[in-house]
Amino acid sequence: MLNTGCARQSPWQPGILRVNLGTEPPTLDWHLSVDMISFEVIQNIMSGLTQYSNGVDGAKLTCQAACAKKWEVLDGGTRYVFHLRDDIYWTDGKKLTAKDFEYAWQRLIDPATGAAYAHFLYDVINAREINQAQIKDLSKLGAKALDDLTFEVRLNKPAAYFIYLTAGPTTFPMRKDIVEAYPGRWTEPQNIITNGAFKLDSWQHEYKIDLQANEKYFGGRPKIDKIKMFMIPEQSTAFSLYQNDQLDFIDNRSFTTSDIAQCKKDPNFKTQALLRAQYLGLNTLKSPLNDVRVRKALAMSIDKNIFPKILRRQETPMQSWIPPVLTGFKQDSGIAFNPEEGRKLLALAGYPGGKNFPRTEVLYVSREDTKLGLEAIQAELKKNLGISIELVNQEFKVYLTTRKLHPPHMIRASWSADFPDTDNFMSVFTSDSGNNYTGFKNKEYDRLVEAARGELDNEKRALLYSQADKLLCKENAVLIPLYMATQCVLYKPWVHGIDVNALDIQNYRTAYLEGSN
Amino acid sequence: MKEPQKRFLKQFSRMPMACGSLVFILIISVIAILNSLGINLSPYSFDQTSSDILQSPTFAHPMGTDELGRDLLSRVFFGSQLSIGIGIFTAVMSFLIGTVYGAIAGYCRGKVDAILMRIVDVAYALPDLLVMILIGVMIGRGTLGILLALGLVSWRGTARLVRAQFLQLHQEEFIEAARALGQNHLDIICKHMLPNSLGPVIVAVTFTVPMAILSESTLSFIGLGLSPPACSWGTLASDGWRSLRTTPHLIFFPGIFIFMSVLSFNFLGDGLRDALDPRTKASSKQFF
Repeated sequence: MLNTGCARQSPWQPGILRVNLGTEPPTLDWHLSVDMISFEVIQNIMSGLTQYSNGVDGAKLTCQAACAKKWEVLDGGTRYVFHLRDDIYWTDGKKLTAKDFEYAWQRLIDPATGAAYAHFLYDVINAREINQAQIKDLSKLGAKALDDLTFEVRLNKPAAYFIYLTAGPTTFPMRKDIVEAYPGRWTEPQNIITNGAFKLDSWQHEYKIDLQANEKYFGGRPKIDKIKMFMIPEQSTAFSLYQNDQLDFIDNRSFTTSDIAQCKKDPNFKTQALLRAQYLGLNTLKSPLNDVRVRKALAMSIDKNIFPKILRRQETPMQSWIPPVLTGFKQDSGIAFNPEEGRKLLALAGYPGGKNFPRTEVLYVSREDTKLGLEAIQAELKKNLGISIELVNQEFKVYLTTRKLHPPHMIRASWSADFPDTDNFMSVFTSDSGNNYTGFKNKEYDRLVEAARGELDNEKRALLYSQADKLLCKENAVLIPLYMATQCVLYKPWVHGIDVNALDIQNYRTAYLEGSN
Repeated sequence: MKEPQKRFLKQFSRMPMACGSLVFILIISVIAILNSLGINLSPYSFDQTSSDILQSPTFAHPMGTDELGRDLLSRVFFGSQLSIGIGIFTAVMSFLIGTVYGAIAGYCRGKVDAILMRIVDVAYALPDLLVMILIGVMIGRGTLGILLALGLVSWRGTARLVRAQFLQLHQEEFIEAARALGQNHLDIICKHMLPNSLGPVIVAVTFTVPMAILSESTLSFIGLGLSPPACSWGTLASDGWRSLRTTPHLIFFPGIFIFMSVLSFNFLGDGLRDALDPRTKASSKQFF
């Protein structure tokens, strides 16, 4: 670098944390967002009934008090009563009440909202019926404000994981007056009203989101004044910016696979195993994948041990859909690598040696490491089965629309756990799930998942889940699990107090900047 | 051999840079043609993965390997097919469309010329990259889309050039003589006007080859080019760019090939221009 002779500036600005979001968040409406980018922003500007303790092991995360100072579990686990703190204010000065939760939950399951995560609340009385338009009256929902500071939830039957839902963005409170006053635009910075540690200051689309410390935050004003969240999709560009002190804290989104070796030398480099499964979703309705033998052949012909070698972030290869740390995991629930058997099945399906195999597309999000992994899969399938698959990349928002409206043969997708419970993984592929793009509808699978949901005996629950997992991955090969991802973070020496957890929730409220210039 | 051809060869052979460029282009073209015929000069296939990931150049892999353990040399050879192919195809497209279009405008003159040239003006005003992206999106990714996109933006210069040549030739006496003798329009165009305007056109077309190679690289670089595992020098450079810091050989080799071929076509164009233009004196030749 040329030294131009100017006075040397501090490489960081006091009180300002600069991070990279990677892309534009598709929406900040926490009922409509389905992706980690939106959630990262929402988690920092909003606060729910509970929040996760900071933990390292995915299975050991617990819920702590947040907006609710305490809660009671009554009637054998079918009734939850939350007692709210009475010192919580929205950013416009209005007091937070249980009504705000009641409205938010009603809006979430209102079919008119079209929330992909509405099924999260299906355990609540009448939620499923309202969401499927069998009951029109929203107030029939079993979640009610008993008074300003008491929120009561009634469940159809006990659900072991229910409390986790109250820590996720989906169940955050919402202001009825604001949402209704600015339909479709209420999440813009000039309209949005929040209650979290930070508030949305400005949103320059496709460039930057600024968050400002919320002076009135009930958990105490955060130590940093401002977070600048840039949207830099190119990993190598983001890494250059980090190296030039233009970013303070970066993660997987901001360095390429080839930068990993260099990052690992940095003392401030951390790797965290995530509850994030990477998979290929197969469209069970589209030829040639509507033939289960073809799907199985594909699943048998991808050696998943190549991923940690190529991607080099300590990924754990997966065969089954249930991650190893969660209830119900069994090594043999999935399809093992067996190219010989795969070739036989493909021949039985009418494509011996991959001959006449129709054009098959895989849709993926334009990201460098995703593409690299897919090229490896492409080479595996060519080598083991003699078939060529076509890779189609799309920008994130376009990808989300395409997979919803015109799902191609395969999608390369990623499922990040919303809460550390097997149910969160299994309910992705139920018939009524808004995240199931495979066309797979199986009554037996739905029954098993439903039964496991209400089962309080952990051993029986594990058995039900492993049966469902087997049905999904081994017998029907609806998806090909690839690997469990990790989150690698790299931060400048002046950054302190950011915890990374298995759910990849990045909360900046405890962060602070300190150090010599 | 006729006198002009002899003179051309003599002039051309005096320019070592142009000759060297021609040799380089011929070698690359042979590699590209062999590759498209399925004859691979390297022991590895372009999409053959291995466990030797990101190796620096060695005897087994003279250009090293990429992130999936694919031999870079065979990928660069494979890429030459598309890069050189696209370059030549675009030049041919530009020559064919441009010459016919320019000839009609230049020969008919008057209203036809005015209308045709305004269309060219409009086409010129559209930003190339935007047009190429649009066509790429409409036709879809892959070789066909790139070929059409590049072909459709490259003919305008040639059209203008041919028209200008034709307008000039109208004044010449031998054209007037041909017309007076009652030759039909097609004969006048094909036998008299075209051969006399070809020199500058060939030179201009030579320059479209490097333009096309660079444009293809640009398109691939921004992700609108080929879909994997197919590769061109552009996609190789684009992929290698990621690991510039750690494994520079991944961008170095494809980069060198793009650089060398673009430079070669430019030198060749320069050489052809000087050799074809009777007005340039041999004594005033540049030092190369």
